[in-house]
Order: sequence, then C-alpha cells, then structure tokens
Amino acid sequence: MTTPSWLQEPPSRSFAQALAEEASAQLTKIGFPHSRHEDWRYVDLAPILNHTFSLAPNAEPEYRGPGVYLVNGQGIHNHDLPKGVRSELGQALSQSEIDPYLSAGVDSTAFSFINTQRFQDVAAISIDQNLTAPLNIYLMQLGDDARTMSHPRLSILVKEGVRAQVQIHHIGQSAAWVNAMTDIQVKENAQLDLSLVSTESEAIRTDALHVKLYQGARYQSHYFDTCTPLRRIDTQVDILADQVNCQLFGLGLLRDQMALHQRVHIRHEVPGSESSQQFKTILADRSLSEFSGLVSVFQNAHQTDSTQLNQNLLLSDHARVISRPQLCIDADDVQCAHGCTIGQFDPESVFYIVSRGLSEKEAQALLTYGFAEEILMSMTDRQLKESLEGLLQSEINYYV
Amino acid sequence: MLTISNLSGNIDDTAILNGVDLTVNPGEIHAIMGPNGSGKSTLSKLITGHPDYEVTGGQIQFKGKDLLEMDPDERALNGVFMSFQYPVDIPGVNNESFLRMAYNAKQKHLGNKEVDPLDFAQILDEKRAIIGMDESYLERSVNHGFSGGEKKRNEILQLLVLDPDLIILDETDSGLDIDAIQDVAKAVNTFKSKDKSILIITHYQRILSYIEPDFVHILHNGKIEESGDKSLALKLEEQGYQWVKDAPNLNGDS
Repeated sequence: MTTPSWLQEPPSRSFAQALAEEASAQLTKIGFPHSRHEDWRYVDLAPILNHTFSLAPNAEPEYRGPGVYLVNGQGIHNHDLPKGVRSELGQALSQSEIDPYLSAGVDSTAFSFINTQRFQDVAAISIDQNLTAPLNIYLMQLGDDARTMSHPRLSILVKEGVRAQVQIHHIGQSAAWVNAMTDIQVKENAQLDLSLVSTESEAIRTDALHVKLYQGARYQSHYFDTCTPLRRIDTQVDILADQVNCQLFGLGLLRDQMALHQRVHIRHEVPGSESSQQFKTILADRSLSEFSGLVSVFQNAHQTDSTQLNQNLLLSDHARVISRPQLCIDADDVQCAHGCTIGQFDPESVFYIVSRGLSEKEAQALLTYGFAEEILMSMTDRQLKESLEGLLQSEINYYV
Repeated sequence: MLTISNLSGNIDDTAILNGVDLTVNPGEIHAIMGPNGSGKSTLSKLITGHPDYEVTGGQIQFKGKDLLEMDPDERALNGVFMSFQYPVDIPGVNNESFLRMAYNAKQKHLGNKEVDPLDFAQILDEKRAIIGMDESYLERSVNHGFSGGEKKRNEILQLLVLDPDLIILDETDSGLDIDAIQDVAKAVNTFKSKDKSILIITHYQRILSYIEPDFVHILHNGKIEESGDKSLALKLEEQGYQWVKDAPNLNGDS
C-alpha cells in the first residue's frame, strides 16, 4: 500500500527537522499500513483511506478549566497551570532543549512516524513538583464537519521523585481524523497516573504513546474509549531500569460498527521490574475489538514479573473479538502470565442475582457494570472515576 | 407456607427427584438430610427456579400461590430466599450497593418507599452486627476474594436484610468451622418466628444442634424416604446412611 497522496508531502517546519527526516526514513522502510502487515491485518483503514483529509485550521479552544489545550494539532494554549508544571511550545525551544522530549515513533506504527513528520508544534510539559490535582490536557478537534486531520504532539516529562496525575481528553467533531503522539518519560522514583479518555469525540482517532520508565518509576495508565468508527492505540513501554512498576488498564464500550484496536508492547530491557496489563471491552451490535499485546523480556532481564489479561464481554452474535496476548522471553528466571477471555454472561451469576429479587435485565446490567467497574476501581482520581461511572451507568442499558 | 406435592425434576435430562411430598408450615424448621446425590440441592434449585433444573411433575404452592408459575426474581420478591452452597462472586459490584439494590427491589415490590444510601447504611449496621461481619466486607465486591466462611456470612447478611418468609440453607454449614457455624446459627435463630419457615439442607447433624429442627426428613433416590423429629438426625450421625440405603421398606427400588 502506498501512502495516500494527501499524506505524501509533509509541510515544512522550523524545528525538529532531523527528527522528521528520521521519521520519514522509518516510514519509507516499513511502508504505509496494509492488511498484509501482521499488525494491521484486522484494521479496516477505509474510514481514513476513502477520504482526503486536509489540515485543520487553527481555532480558539473551548474553555474547560485549567490545563493545556492543543487545538486542531497546532494551537497550544496554557490556562492556569498548577505550580510545578511547565508547558512550553516546542518551536520556542532550541534543538538541544527539545530533543530529549521527543522520539521518532512507536515500534512499527506508521501513524506515529506520520505524526513526527507532520506535527506543527509540541506541547513540551515538564512536571517538577508533586501535583495535588490532576493536570488536564485537552486534545480538541474543532470546526465544522469537514474532513480535517490533525497531528497533535505531546511530551510529558515527570522529574525525579515527583508524583503526578495527568488526564488527556479527546474532544471534537466527528468527521475528523486525529492522529496523536505522546512521549512520556517517568524519571527515577517518580510516579505518573495517566488517563486517556475518549468519550467526547466521535472522530477517527489513532494514538501512539511511547513511555520510558527509569529506575524505581511507577506508571499507571487507564484508557477509556467509546463512540468512534475507528480507534487504534499503540503503546510502547520501555522499562529501562530495575524496580519499575508499570500497570496498564483499558476499557472499551463498543457498539454499532465501532472498531477498537489496542496494541501494546512492553519491553523489559533490564532485570527486576514488574508490569501488568488488563484490557477489557464490552461489545454490542457489529463492533470489533482487537487486542494485540506483546511483552518482550530481554536476555538479561531476570526477575521480571509480568501479567497480561484481555477480557471481552460479547453481547451480540455479530460482534467480533480478536485477542492476541503474546510473550517473547529471552531470560530464564522470570514470571510471566498471559491470557484472554471472550464470553457472555455467566448463567450462575445471573441466577444468583435474580434469586435476590432483581430482574434478569437488572442482573445483566449489574454484571456488565461490574465487568467494567473492575477497571475503573483501580483509578486514583475520584472525580474522573465517578464521572466515568456515571457515563457507564447511562450507557449500560444499551448493552443489555 | 410451602406445600410440595409429588414433585419430580431433572437436570440435563437426568431424573433426580421422583415424587417429593413436603409441607412446611409457618414457624416450622425442617431439615432435609440425605447422602450425596440424593437430590437435596436439586430440591432447593427447583424451589428457587434455577433455569438448568426442569420440573417434570408435581406442584409447589407457596403462601397459596403456584410457585412454579413465577420467575426466580418473583419468587424472591414473594419471600423465598436460598443461602447458596457456593455463593457466586460478582467482581466490580460493591457489596453494600448490591444489598441496597436487592433491598429496594423488595421495598418496591411491597409498595414501600425505596431507601437512600444513608438510611440503608443504618439498616445494614444493625443486620451486620447480628452476623458479626466486619464493615470492610461491605466496601468490597460481592463475595470477591472472600473466604468460604465470609461468603456464608454474607449470605446470612443478605437473608437478614431481605427478611424473607421461607429460607433455605443449602449446605450452609459445609466448609465452616465451629465458630462460624455458631455465628450463622445465632443469626438464623434471631430470624425464627411464628411467621417464618426454615428449610435446612445438610449432610451433618452438627448445625442442627444449634438450629433445632421440628422435623427431619431423609431424601434418598429422589424421594423423602423417612420423616421424624430431631432424633432422626442423631440416628444418622451415629449410624450413617447405610441403613437408609439397605432398608427395603424405605427404598422402593430394593
């Protein structure tokens, strides 16, 4: 598959050109995604390829509260940032200042390299003090229903020993394609709880996250997805030192013909770290969930402890689940587990609940809620957790 | 309260019950005993309406109504409660919220006002004290990660909250240590009254030392083979079930 013509000539920019060239070289090497590529076999790219997307014009953000706003991939606005957070425009930094913030892309994810070729600015965020409240980042795609695209670029650096919560919100119109890339670094003994929430956008969304974890870092992320015709999230986590703890959670509520493709690669490059993944989807109608998780344990990465679980509640005869939890282990002394479940309601659980006086529909709703809540209950920010629980409650009757 | 007439039932097309007759009046405590595979649990599943179990003959009347015409939730709302032999885990569903939902479903059925979480917490505190369950279990998911004993206590807490008219203890004593059996028995005994009926399904006499039955029935080959008072349970404890299996006058198949 050749790159569509409207994606072939990246616009010029005044900074990080070397990185753009590196991304272009990578893109030439791996090629534009195609169903013959193993990582793209089940992804129907028609919602992108059947149209011509043009760059979205700049627009004023819709104010949601304190935080960093990236509007249509180009305008970056900071509002009332908490103490300890610095958010700078990449184009205002020298090359030596911006370089540590950015990587060319994620694994063999073409869209991450496309972002690196084409981003117009970078929100380079560093956090050097403990935060008492979450930092909100809004990725806004604003405008009418034109076929526009944006390539928002974020970089988050949590400095040594600092504890922070960051919430990234996708917000925007439905005909657009938002191709975001986020570089995250959690430095020595720092802690980051990241949420990536896509409940207010019906745009096609491709996200790539490249996470680097240093000694003693603790990283937890929650992805929450609803309502999109095509959603792909590529996450690469590089565990670069020992005593790292990395926990990834994901929840997708899928209906109609939505497709959620979740690809995760955790690289245990050194001994003595832990990682876990728990990704769940609830599927109705003709929706599709693909989970492709890979944990690589490098040759000397002994005492690695890793778990990987993909669970799917399939509530329609026409919905599909593709689950590929995988391990690649080159060390001897490790504990690694992986698995997946695909199923409907457990009849014993339904009977238990109705035997307490709730109707069968209520029992199914409760089991669906419980299935999802297992992910939400691990969230640390109470306000976001309660807001997502409310959303879940309001959506659930559609599924049962 | 409960009148079972000539009840037969299957699971997976295998006949398990073969003409059970049993009458339980308000205020009475009945124990059903029997060897493994005799149909004790099948009887409880047919009373509560488990969808895997099929009634092939006979009737069950509950408070003058045809119980077999009711869905399982209607049976519960009308006052039938079974403490499960193996209570089910419901991950992600808060135990207190589940109890409140079940309580409010019952209140709605009775035409009463539903209670809000604060008022319900007071109701729950009183009930929890009776069974001696730590408050922390209310914040956890229903039965998820509970020990066997705590699951059974949670069943009894549900029983106390829902205040049914007929309670079925389906091998509630299995897997419990003596202290836990005493706690469960103490809680169930607070429930005894002239309006309530209790059906205890058990292998062992031990729980009957703490919840004294008015009648003991031996279920064998899908039928009640013998009925008596509590001394029948003591006889089983001393002599086992072999005499039941061997006795030709008790066993129509022999």
